[in-house]
Amino acid sequence: MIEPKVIDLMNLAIDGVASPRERAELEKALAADPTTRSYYESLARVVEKLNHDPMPEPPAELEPRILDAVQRESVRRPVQMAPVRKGFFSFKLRPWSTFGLGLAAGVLIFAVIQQGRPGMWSARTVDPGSVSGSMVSDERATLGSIPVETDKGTVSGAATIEEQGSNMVVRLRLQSTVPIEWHVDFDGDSWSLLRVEREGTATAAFAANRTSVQGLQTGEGGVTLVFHGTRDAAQAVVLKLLQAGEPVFEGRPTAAR
Amino acid sequence: MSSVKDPNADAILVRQCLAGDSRAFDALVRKYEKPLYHLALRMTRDRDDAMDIVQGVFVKVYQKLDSYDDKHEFFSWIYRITINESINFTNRAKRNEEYQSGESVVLAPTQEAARSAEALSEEIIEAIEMLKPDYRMVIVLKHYHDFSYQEMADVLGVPEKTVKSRLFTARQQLKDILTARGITE
Repeated sequence: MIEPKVIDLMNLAIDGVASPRERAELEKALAADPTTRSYYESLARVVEKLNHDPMPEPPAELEPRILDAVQRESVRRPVQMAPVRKGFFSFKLRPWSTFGLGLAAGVLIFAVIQQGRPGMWSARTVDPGSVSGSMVSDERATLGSIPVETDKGTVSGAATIEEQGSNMVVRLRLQSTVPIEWHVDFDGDSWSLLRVEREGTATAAFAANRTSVQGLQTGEGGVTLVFHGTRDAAQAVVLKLLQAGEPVFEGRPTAAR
Repeated sequence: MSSVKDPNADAILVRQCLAGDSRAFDALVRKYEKPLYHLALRMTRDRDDAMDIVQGVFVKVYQKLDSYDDKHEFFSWIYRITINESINFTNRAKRNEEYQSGESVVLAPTQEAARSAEALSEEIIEAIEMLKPDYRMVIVLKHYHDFSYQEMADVLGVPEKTVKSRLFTARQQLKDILTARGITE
């Protein structure tokens, strides 16, 4: 019977972490008992085999499968990946149905009407999470812009489209005197939505699907939509604005000079 | 034995991911898919289950990357997620009941006098897979992923003393299994 302490010393020695004193103690035990030495040599051979056993390659389909799953996740539930800072707000998109968006629009309008009733608004809007910091590097190239102006003058502002590294960024800045619903349609085969950041609290609720991002807004503020994709599809972006469910604006980007 | 431990390179990739560079996330996938697949494969003993786990791990990493605390090393974090997912899977699957007692499994020696490296690898894998999950985990982390005792303690969430105890017992059981099968003397 080999003492447990000696077996521990064997393992420490095999792992190369035995102290000189422990090493000497083990040598003494090995010299005193052939059975102990035989056990040690056998254990060392097992470890030697383990250390030289190769790690198998994963199946070739694993990497594309992972990337595809992450890609789908980024569309279904974009993740806020910018560093957290105090003083801003952010949120995660939810794949609302058209019905959900319509309901949210109704709630929004109702809440505006009912502004005198504390608690109504906060009870119905999407709860913003914490924050978003700057997600963009300094290297920007403007690919196009969509100036916004409605006939009745209730909404103004612009959407600009920029290339930033491997990302395409749509910055939407609007000022509205009435609740409006905006849609940013894009080429879902060329672009995938990575995340949304908002500035201010004018935009209250969102929805997204594979080819469109939608939001509700009252007042002055905006959102930044970050996509992964190619610059060629920048011209496919369409901005639509609806007021009380009726289209009041639709524009495509004018290419930047 | 291979190692993916390179905290500085990981920190750069994570920062690039958080800045919106999706190629950096792709790089993390390429770097970690092999070791994580191997770890999951040894725990689940099934190729498809292992792929499911690794896919789920990367989706979870993608979802949680903004909450990752860079005081901890990324490889520890992603290994821990993989280990938890693998343990959850094996608990659900209940495939290891016959080895849960922790007793050594003694098998009849095989008749093969000589074995190719590939066959030997298969024999070793089979022996590892006979260990109960806690023991299997430390063997895999130590001998295939080159983890130190402390690193294993970190990712497993147990004291270093427990890691040593599990590892030493696991080796002893492996030796018994391989000896019984005539693979080692």
